[in-house]
Amino acid sequence: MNTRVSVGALCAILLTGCASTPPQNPIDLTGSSIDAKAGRVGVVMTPLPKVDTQFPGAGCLLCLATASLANSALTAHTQTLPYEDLPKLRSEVAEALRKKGTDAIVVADDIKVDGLSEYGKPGPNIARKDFSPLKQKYKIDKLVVIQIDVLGIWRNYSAYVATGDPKAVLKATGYMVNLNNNTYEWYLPLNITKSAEGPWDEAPKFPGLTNAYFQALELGRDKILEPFKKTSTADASTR
Amino acid sequence: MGAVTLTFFSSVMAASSDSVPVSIPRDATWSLRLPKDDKVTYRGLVSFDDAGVGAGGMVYPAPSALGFLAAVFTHGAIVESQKQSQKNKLQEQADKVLAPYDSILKDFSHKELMHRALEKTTTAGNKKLVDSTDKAGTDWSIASIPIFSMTQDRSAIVLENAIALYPPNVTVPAYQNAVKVVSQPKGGAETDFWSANGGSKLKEESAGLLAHSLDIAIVEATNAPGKDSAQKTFRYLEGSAEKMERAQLISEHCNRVVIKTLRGWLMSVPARPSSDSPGTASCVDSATSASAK
Repeated sequence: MNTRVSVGALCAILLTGCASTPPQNPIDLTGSSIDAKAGRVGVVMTPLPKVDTQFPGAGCLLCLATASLANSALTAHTQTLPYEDLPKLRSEVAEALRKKGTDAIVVADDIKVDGLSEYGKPGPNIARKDFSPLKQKYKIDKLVVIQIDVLGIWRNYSAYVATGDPKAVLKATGYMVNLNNNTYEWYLPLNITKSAEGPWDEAPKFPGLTNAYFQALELGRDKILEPFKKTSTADASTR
Repeated sequence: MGAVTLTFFSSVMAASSDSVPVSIPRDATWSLRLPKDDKVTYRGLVSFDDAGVGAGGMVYPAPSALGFLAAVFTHGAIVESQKQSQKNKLQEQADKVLAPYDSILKDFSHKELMHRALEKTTTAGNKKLVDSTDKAGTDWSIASIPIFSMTQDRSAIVLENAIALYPPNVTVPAYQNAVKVVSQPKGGAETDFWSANGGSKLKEESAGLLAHSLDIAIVEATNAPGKDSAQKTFRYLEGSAEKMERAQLISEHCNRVVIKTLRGWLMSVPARPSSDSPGTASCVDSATSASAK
């Protein structure tokens, strides 16, 4: 009986958890969010993830071990790939904002979003984490966060069997939080995948996949920067 | 593409270029060897970024260890077949971009293409076409397997050419590499642009790209390896789409950039327009001759 109650409670907790955190929909950046009246905007990045391989779908332990062994040369090479200009992204976003007339600063510290406390008032377009303490800390009104979640090479599996060729992957989220009310004023989830042109299995340097990796890096940078370069503000148009 | 052609192309594409410069006399006579297949290969440019069956779980019937292994191998064979079938379908779909040119391309032979290309090369010396079965003679000879692709917006043609250079009376290539040339984008290109006058623009552009690739390969073969420039990500237009390639800069001239890819292949791509670009209207680009006519 106790076991039944425990399983039931666990299911209820899991289902409640799923229901209470719907995915955040993308929000376009508007000119009024970044014009001169928007206040001071800080630009920050989360710590960059390790460049690595992943094998989604290799679910069981033995499947994962098989996939890891079969792709060990690729993993060793992937782990040597550099971030290139990715760490400069915060400076580039701040520079793009300044060109629009925004008072923008670069927050040099990496921010660990998971370390922030939960925001007490959930709702549409409200950040789950409480960013408001950063207002005082950095003397800013809004915060642009560039969060690179995944970087490297992925190869999909179905248990023991690879279901496709490996691809370069960059998963990221860019968002801007108004620190006065903890709401998103821009939210952009990114999922970039690039395949190698021609053959991919070219150990030890995997030139096709390496090229795809750098393409994914550049595409990711472009996608993050694009709204700040394209969104027009009254200040920019009068310059 | 025929099996023989494919084998040669694969072997050249897989081979890394020789870094030792080849000594070729300036007044050398060149023989361009015709491929065994007579018909020029054209296809639609395809992206495999979305290819793949996706990740997922699988429960194998395992009455015994042998049965389990048999189930895994069967699963592998089925997935492999699905992957190949998906790629073939994507290529077939992409090839439909060439449908308006079927009547032009079915009669376009390597002989006609290479004859036109030889007239456009800038390499010095006498040049002639020889049959694929002709034995190595006293001339320098070039074996070339060109494959052309058209972008889906029909605004550019891309050549991938497997090239091997043979000294006189020698059957082992002194230099071999793959050269990719991307044509200048034709703004607002329409179907009629390429098919007008019996496909003269399509043929001229193809021949220009081929000639340019041969010139690049010969120059690179004779050049002593210089100090390697730093690798960087180059951006260029492939039709209306911006593309990127991680590579080293080899040369920049007029409105073209020649780079060496991570595979060691050579690429000639349209330079990104900028105010301080050396590309001007006075630059004559062999790879873009069709648009200038």
